[in-house]
Amino acid sequence: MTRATPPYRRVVSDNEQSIIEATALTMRYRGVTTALNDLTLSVRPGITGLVGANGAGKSTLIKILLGLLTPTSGRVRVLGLDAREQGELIRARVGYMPEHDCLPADVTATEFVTHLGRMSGLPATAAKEQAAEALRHVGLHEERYRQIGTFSTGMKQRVKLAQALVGDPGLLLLDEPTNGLDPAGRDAMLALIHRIGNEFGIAVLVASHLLSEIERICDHLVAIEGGRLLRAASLDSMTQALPWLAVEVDEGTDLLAARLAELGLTVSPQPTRRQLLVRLDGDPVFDTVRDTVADLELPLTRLEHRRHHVEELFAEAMPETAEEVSL
Amino acid sequence: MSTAPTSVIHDIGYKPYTGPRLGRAQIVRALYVHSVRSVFGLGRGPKAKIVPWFVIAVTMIPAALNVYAASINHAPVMAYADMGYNLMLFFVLFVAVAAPELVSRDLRHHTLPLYFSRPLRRADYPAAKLLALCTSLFAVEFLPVLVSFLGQVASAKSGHEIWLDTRDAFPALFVAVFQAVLFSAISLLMASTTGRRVIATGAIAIFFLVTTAIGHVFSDALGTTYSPRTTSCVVPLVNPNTAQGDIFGVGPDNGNGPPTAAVNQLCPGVDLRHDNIDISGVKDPNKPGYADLTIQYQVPVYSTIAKVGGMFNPADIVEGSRIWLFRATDGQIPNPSPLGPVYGAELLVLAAAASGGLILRYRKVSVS
Repeated sequence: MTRATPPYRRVVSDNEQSIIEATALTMRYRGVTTALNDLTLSVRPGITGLVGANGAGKSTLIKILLGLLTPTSGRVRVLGLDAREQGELIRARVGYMPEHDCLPADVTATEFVTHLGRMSGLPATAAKEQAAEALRHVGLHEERYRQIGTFSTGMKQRVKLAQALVGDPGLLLLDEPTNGLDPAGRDAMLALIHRIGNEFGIAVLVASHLLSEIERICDHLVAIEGGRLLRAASLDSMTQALPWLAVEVDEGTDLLAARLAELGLTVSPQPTRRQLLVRLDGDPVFDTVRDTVADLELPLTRLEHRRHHVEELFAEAMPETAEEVSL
Repeated sequence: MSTAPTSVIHDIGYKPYTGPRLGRAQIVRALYVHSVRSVFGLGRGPKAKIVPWFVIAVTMIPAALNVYAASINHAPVMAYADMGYNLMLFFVLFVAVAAPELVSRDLRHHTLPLYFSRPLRRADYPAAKLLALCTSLFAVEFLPVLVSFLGQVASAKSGHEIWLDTRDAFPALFVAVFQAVLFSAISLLMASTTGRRVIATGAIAIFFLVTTAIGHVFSDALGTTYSPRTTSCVVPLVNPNTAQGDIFGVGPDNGNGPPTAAVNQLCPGVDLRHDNIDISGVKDPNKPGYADLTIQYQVPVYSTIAKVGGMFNPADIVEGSRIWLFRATDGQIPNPSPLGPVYGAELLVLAAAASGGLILRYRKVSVS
């Protein structure tokens, strides 16, 4: 079975096409537990964040995408292939990075990734080359002949990513890729995913329960909760700048609020965040705030043009701009 | 330097893979080859090689002695058909280490989701592993038989001798095939229930040893009585193994019997290992060059319990099936007759059940 030009490449290059398309997807375990409920979504090329709390149905969705679970009803197409009928073909073209630890300790990174490359359908020599490439891309070129058991958590996560990347997949499904990483490791992993999505041209679906993390690298976000689609949109449309300026001082917040109000600015104290929100009625507002803080000799720690936090948009309990409305 | 450098190291970046992609069948084959290699510790550290190669070395000892015995016209040290049973402990050791290596490691490290998120189907993984262990064990079991056979052939004096040897070696092939199937399926099924290799190895070893002990206890149960038999057969005066004449020394004047191996070979149904053998013979008046032998011997009669006793141990089941199928008289366990077909059926059912259980086990493994 040799395919010189895999069909998915054309799919990727055509922006109108969806990488993943789910229609009215419902999954019930043993007919009782509903993991997915009438879920319809479409994922385009680029990096897509799949956000939801634990138990929201992220893992179930990924298993269905891999053709490992058959949905109770509904239709799924991945890379233009039907997940029900063509699971095998999909799995040959999709890289999957599981959430939990899945690495043997007593083999070298090269051996492990090479073996899994073969399991993806690469011929023996190609598997070796592709494994070396994948390990180089995740930054483990020097360490590739070391046993995985000697690796740090961050390096192990990279090996997990490398095994998903080996064999040039058309789509990567990453389940909680930053799990267990320290902040530096998390940043490095996110940068790597960003690079894979943008430079390598591989579509990526990142599942995470930490929205604040993946919003930094995603082009699109899909939020699911209780097996339903909560919201799906491009990240740009979600994070428009608001006409508010956040001001944070270590002390004298009340004094500053009073002074700014005297100067005719609209000020909204945020006691929970220990900051002030100042409405941006025009450019002079920046100067006024700066001068006022300087006059009062307050220790300024933050001056930030307020944006929507994506979390706020997804949080049902907190309607959009609730804080500002309560002014 | 103001001129542009002539050579620059570029980050060559990401190159999409455009080479061939193999189908599922070839992926299964790759998994099979990988598994066979890991059974013998190839591509692994030196520790992984100790047990498999120790077993191969030990089982080559009787094979080497057989080759030597054949070269000096002696009867084999260990008959072909006895090799599987007599060397059983080493084969148990082999699978007790190999089966956990094949399946427990992947369970322990939760590697299975990585396999099942690839084109493999659920049944492919256990099937490749079972086939790998099966063929590996078969190779290890059959190697000493093959070496002995080649030694015999090399020392053979006639085509007829080679034919007799081939006929003798065939039951050994049967034993090697079915021990390989049964041992592999059972040990893999046991190993696939735990991710802890030490426990899997221990459980497999204990299972085979305890059931062997049970078989031994049963085979002596209620004692053994003997019933006298008399049989006669016509044998050539020339020893078929050496093609040298008249070593039988048959005749009224000569009380010495022929070599036991020769009688075993030439007179079907007689096992000269038993007590109170009395052989007398005269030259056949109608057939020049042949002798009529009259053999009086005692056949052990076992209790039913002794006959049933072999049904608990995989090696005994194979041995009982061999005795039944080849009407062997040199069995290592009490002749199960008339329960022979039961042994045969149990052999097939057990092999199928263990293999099926292994496949079913992997249908349930969750991928998260």
